[in-house]
Amino acid sequence: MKSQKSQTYYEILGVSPHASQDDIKKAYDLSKQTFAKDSLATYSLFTDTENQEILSLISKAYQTLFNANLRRDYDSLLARENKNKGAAPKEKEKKIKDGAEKSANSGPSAFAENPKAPQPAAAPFHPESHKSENPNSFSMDEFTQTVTEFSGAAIKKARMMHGISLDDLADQTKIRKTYLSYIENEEFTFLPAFIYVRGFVKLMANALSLPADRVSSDYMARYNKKMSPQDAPPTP
Amino acid sequence: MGQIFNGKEIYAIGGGKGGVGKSFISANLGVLLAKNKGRVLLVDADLGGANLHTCLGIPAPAVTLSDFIANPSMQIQDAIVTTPYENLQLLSGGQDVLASANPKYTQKAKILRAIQSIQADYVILDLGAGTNYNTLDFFLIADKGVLVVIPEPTSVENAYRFIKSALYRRLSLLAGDSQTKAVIEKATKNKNDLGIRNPAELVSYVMESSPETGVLLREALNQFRPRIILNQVRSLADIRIGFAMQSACLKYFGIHMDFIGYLEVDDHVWKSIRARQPVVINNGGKSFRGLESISHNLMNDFQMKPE
Repeated sequence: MKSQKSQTYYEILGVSPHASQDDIKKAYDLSKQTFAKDSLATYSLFTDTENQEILSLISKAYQTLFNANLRRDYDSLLARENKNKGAAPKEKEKKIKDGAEKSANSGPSAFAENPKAPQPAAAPFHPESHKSENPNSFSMDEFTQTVTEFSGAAIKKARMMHGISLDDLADQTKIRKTYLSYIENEEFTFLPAFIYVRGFVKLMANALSLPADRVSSDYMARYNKKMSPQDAPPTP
Repeated sequence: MGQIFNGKEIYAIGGGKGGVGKSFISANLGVLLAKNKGRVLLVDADLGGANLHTCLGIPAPAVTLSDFIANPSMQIQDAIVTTPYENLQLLSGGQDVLASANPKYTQKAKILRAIQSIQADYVILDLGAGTNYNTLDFFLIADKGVLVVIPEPTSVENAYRFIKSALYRRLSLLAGDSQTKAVIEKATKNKNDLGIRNPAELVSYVMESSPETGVLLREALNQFRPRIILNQVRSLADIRIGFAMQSACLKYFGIHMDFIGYLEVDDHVWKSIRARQPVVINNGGKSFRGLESISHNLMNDFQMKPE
């Protein structure tokens, strides 16, 4: 079946991240019926074992989201993940599991072992994060503190620290590789208009777990300084 | 009429199993749309077993798609007949010749091109039972493909088989290279030596050997959005099957399916079928309301919400 592991608890239950408790309860009841033994809608698609695994995942999702405290923890976990796309997936998984197990009593399952990294595609980005307890974002925080101004070179350094190529970053941000390279080398004249460059820089910063606002304001100040004033709109 | 119209919409009504109400729903949606929205062409795409005309209360048309296939000089307009309903025309599939039931590829392409060129605001394709390539290709040229399902195991199973066949057919037509086509061909078999169990796994498999094709297929998977209508519903539990199938499709196939409405078991329906008159010619009644809500959801890309 579709990679259950890469779905958030919200996706597992088929509810929006803003769903009310009532919606979550309803969605849970519906999901339970959908994957119940001999359910008309699923018996021909899933084996009993698969149904069991899905049900156990559904029940974990429900137990986490229906409990206001656990849900808050889970939400902040998701938010952090979305921010540092793919950073330290191991740590995230562990937290989710701990959170769910406080109230969950369901047995282990192949699906539940690995409740989803919301951005699983980005995981290969940080292979080193699997090796140490120290999530990558920690060293990025440290790095950020040592940087006085986010120039193109500083952004490039951050990328090197992540150990990813321009191609990887282009894949991740959907920004053309040539633009990424111009940004790192501060070849401003080859770049599109101010507003695009600022957007690119923010996307790059997010992908590299850097503080996007600070990076973009530093970088765009350098951009403005170098480009003639009549070409560049004032920094808002 | 009176509706601002930006282009023709083609709907296909299929579902795999016979006897679930495809022709009944096609005919009634046709009458409703013709009454309220614009020019409608009903196409009886059940080549060889056409009987949509009966649902409209008219005799078998003298000219059909069989003639259109057989006669190279014939225009598609010449095979279209009027019906007792204003704005509603019928293109029949032909009931006889084996040749028309199994058109050659070029003949089928001719029909599909002709359908796309027809002057109408809405085209409704009433598909035959089964999942042969002809039926699937009609389903796939539609802007919106609808499956009619009744709350019975055989119908639900056939609907899933239909979804899977149509999806793999689309992916196979999209994949340019013969290598990917071969992989897709293998993947359609339930037990294949590639270990591919569903479309999502197929896409991942292709992604590894040929990322460009993989991206294309993934996009097609995201775009594939069949609708379902539940017919002959008897209880609230029956209606829930629509939502359950929606959720099962997402988990199994990785596709979004819109549950766009249901029709309750209704004595007016069998009476109308025996009288060979569309049930919607009389306003009111649960089937009329059900069909109105279905056409509304279909046109506007809406879907049912769980209560």
